[in-house]
Amino acid sequence: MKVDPITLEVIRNRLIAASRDIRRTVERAAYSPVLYEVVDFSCGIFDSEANTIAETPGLPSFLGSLGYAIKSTYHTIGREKLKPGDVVLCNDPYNGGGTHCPDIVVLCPAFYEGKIYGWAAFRGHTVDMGGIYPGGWYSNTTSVFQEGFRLPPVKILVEGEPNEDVFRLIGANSRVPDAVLGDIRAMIAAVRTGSRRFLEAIEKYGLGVMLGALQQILDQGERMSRAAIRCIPNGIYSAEAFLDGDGNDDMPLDEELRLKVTVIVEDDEITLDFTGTDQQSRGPMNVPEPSTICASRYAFKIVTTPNLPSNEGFFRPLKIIIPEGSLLKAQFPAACAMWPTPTNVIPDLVLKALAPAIPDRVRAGHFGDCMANFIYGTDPRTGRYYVCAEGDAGGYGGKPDEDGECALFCMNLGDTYNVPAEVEEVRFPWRVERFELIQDSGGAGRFRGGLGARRDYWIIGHQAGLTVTTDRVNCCPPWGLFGGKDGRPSITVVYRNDGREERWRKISNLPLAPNDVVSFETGGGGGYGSPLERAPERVLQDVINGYVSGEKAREEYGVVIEENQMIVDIKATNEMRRKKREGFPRQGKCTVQKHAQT
Amino acid sequence: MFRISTDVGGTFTDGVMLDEDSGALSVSKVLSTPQNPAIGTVRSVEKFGISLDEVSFFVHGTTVVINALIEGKGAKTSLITTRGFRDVLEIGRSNRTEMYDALYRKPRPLVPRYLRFEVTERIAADGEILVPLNADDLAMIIDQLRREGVESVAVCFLNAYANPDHEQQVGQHLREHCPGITVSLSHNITRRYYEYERTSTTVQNAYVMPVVQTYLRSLEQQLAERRFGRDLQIMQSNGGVMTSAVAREIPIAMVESGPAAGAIGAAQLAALLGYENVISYDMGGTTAKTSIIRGGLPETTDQYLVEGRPLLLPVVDLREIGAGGGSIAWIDEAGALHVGPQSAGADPGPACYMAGGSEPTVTDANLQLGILDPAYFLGGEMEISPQLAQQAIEKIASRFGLTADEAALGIIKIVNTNMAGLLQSMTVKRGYDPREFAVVAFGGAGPIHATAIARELSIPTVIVPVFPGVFSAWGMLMADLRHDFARTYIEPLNGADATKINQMFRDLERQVKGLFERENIENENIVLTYEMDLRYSGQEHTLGVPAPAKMTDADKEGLGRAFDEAHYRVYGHNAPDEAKEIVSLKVIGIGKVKKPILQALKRGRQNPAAQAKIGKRRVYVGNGRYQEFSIYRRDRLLAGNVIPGPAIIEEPTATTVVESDQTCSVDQYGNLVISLS
Repeated sequence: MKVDPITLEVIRNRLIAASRDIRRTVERAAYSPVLYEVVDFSCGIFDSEANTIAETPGLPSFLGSLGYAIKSTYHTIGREKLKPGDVVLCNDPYNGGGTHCPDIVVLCPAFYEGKIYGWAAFRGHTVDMGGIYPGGWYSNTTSVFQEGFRLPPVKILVEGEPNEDVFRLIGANSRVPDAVLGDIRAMIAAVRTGSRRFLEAIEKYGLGVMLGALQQILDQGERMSRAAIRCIPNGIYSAEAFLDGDGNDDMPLDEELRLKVTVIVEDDEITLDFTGTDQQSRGPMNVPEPSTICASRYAFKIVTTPNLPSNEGFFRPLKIIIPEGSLLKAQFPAACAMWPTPTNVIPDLVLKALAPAIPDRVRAGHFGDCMANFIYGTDPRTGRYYVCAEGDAGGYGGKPDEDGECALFCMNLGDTYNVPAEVEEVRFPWRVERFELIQDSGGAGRFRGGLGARRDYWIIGHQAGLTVTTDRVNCCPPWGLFGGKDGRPSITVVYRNDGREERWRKISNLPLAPNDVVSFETGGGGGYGSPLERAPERVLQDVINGYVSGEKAREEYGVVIEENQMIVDIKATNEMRRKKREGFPRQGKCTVQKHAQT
Repeated sequence: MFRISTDVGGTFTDGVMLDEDSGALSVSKVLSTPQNPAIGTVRSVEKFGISLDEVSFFVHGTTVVINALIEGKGAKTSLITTRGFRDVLEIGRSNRTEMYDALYRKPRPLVPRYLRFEVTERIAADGEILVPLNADDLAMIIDQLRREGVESVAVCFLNAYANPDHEQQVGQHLREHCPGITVSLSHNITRRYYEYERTSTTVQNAYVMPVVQTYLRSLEQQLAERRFGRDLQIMQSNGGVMTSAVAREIPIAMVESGPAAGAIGAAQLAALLGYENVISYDMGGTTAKTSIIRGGLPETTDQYLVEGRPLLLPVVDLREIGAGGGSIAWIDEAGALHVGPQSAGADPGPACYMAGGSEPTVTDANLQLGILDPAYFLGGEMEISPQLAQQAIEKIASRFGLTADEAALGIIKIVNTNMAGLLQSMTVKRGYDPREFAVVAFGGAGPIHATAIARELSIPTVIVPVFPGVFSAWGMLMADLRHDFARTYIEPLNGADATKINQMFRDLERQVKGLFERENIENENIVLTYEMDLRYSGQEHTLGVPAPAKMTDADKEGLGRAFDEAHYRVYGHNAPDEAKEIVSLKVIGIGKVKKPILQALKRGRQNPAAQAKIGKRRVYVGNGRYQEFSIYRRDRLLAGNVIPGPAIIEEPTATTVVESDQTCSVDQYGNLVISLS
């Protein structure tokens, strides 16, 4: 049924509002910071065939995989076994979940006259779903069986009534059952709201109009997408990067792992081909296929229609090729706790590949890691067990016309919030000692990379455990573009109470003692363009503001600053820049190869 | 004696004067003077032709704060923080609101890094002083402030919400050693946790403080020259007023003064007419703003952003969408029709203004449909062209193979649903039933659209006040003084020490009463209400419930139950068996001012006088059908008149639509009250 443009717009806006309602309900009623501050979730409205109709930002790396949860539900429970009032829950990475065990998906079908016409879906990170150590995010697991309690799609509500058996099962398998069950209750309320709003739209506009509208909404998305692809020159572009590997730093499992993408732009279609990516790893740096598809869609959206809403139609012109058996298409029962790490690099890699084609729409590499960290123990003030799951924010790459942004969460974390120090000090037994930008962490460039940040926790009065899984440290620091320098990579430093200092990229369950200080230092972004082309006045401003040291101004930018008076020594600067240019080509070359122009 | 209010807007400065003896209202409208808004303000007052020593109450609403923030024209400002935290202002919450934008740009800090200074000191979350304030650090900073020519300083220390001692020391020091520099201390503005939000609020306060002080000095001087001898009252974003003496200290509290006044006007008008629950609906040229009033007070939020920068202060919870008379209808690349948020503004304005605009707007659509009379726009003072409106709308119509009328109706439908969605999200989502509300519609375009929106949501009553074009200024006239103070206090509800809670409530009271004292408000005119923000322990976000002024342990159960109920109402689920936690305590102080008596309109019969009805007009209503609407002049209507729909009631600055299933009656004060028949 062809729906008139006015009704269509009205229905579209209603569904977007429904999706927003889901988010708001969870945000305000959730228990764990990871949901209410970190916004580690995504939600959306889907049609009966699991196509995304409307989404609400949260975690972009989550969205596309919600559709797989719906398909898995049909496959596992059976479409005919679903009843009005049912709510489904799953977290199995290989059946419905698609990410890793702590991420829980909650789904509510919208029934109309006995048939499913749509779904409201929510995926959120819970603080603990069991597994070898608290938090569900490990560097050294070798099988998904070590990573937590897995649920294939199961009914958590049966025709509107709570399935207490499932609640008890989850409670029994989590280290912090109150928080996890509280969050799940909030998610259930949210998807029920979303589903009800979908039904209200059917009731108001009629089934025929609604189905026609859903179709047209997707068709419009497709047209927008195709128009945007036509703005990218045809060609085959590729880029690769190496991950640092997994295991603990003192006991590695896999050494560097290669990620490769070839972007084929042909008129109004794009193919992302990951051929050349390494085989599945022994450790947890593996990605279940749905999550690779999400990351690819995310990268695609960034370079095509970043300012438009998203639905399934937008992705019709996108083809994704993932080699069988590669770490981007992990096979059960591969460990996959660190799935976000490779997927985090995909958007950056696509930007890098397309840099020669659309130099004015890309930026240099960002620190590119969730910086997921977990501290857990028993709070000496209350005697209660706690798990604090957080990420940290770092620098973004220089842009075509301005410096990179300082201290933002990595691309895949989207609209995630940090937890205020004042909130942490109430909730957790430690003191936040500093939260500051790191001088010289941004890669030098005509447009400098943004700075990373340092956040120190002073552990008070108890023994705690720490898990960190940082990447892009050794093998692919945040890269510069067009002659810009790399940013300083991320690292976690533990300052022991006896004066020793330990530096960690990846470690699971590291013991922390009272008065140890854990310092999370995030990387800076890469620079864009040669630093020798940066206006000396801007370098001076950076030195005055302490973003760049006088020493780096000289070394990297060739700008000599008279530090007593804070002025540029123009003569010495010209001289130094001339010398530096003789050593380097005037315009740095992008490291990316462009194979062919079709 | 008279009461006067002035509301400075982007284009016009509105004035309203009320004669306290007769209740008669006068209004004035002059062009705003952005260079020095005080000039426009004085002009709007001079139009009334009275001597200002006859004025008992003068309220002023101004955009001077919001403009300084939006245009980046505040003072050279510095920030002093706890050592290790000067970058909190720049790091912010590290989120990216545009998640697909690789080139995302976060809000820039109002204080550059070289003017952000750190002091060695530390206070724990429970208020204990862990590291005393280092005086040497402070002395060095003072040198720097002088050297750099800083005009204003913000101070925000970690956990100062729990113990403001160090901030107070710094404040005293600065006032002694740098008398020319204005000082903002975070705990004086709010004692709530969330260091970025509190820092951001304090910095914004400091940033506008010198600008506001200069402005108020200039305005007060000019008013004094015209023999005004009372305290100047300033409209705040929380829906109350404050004296200019207080406004000088907390200027950030007036950031949304104009829009808040509209909400307070709606609240006061509704109270006068006997409605408890009201939706205020203000639609102008570029946006529509709404807010919810329950039990006579507008709801406030503390999650307000200005240019992406948070404010941790109660602001009337105004939701805004880009839907006004000037909103442009457009078709995207995929062929979908949208209306707004881009607006043709005042220049060039809608196509029908004949000022060069060629894009179809909401006003063009209303003209096309026959809702607006081309001969009576701004009371006939402005010529508009139905031909140009139609030409613009044809752009949309031809793309979809529709008639111009059908396309125009489509534009209106989209705008109305967007706005109905907004109202729905503000009521239903909070667990309120829109059918228990009345809409107060104002602004140039509000009365045109309100009745259709009300019908969509089954809202039974729409009220269009007298002078809907200057309603915000009228609202200010009716506002009481108001001061809110909140304090973070995290304790389990059951275990909390009632004595300690009472102590904190008394502290907050003292803060509130201290301000009222400076404003010469008598004790018997102060009404204090107490609130407690609660949550299930383990949750983060809270819900407020009313609390008794003097807590006893026996009150805890009732508070817990009230929270359970609120949680169910707002989120659709609750967990009564779970432990609850107190997060913050609030005291809201209202300083009652004497309410003026409104003048009653002359009484007429049920049928309006013959000269009130000036004719009929054909209006397109869809499906190829036209309907005859009776046209009335508002200034010829009398109290008690009843007008059955379909009808259009015209006045120079607004047009009210009464649909065919609605009836409009004129109440004793001249307000139009439209109900579903």
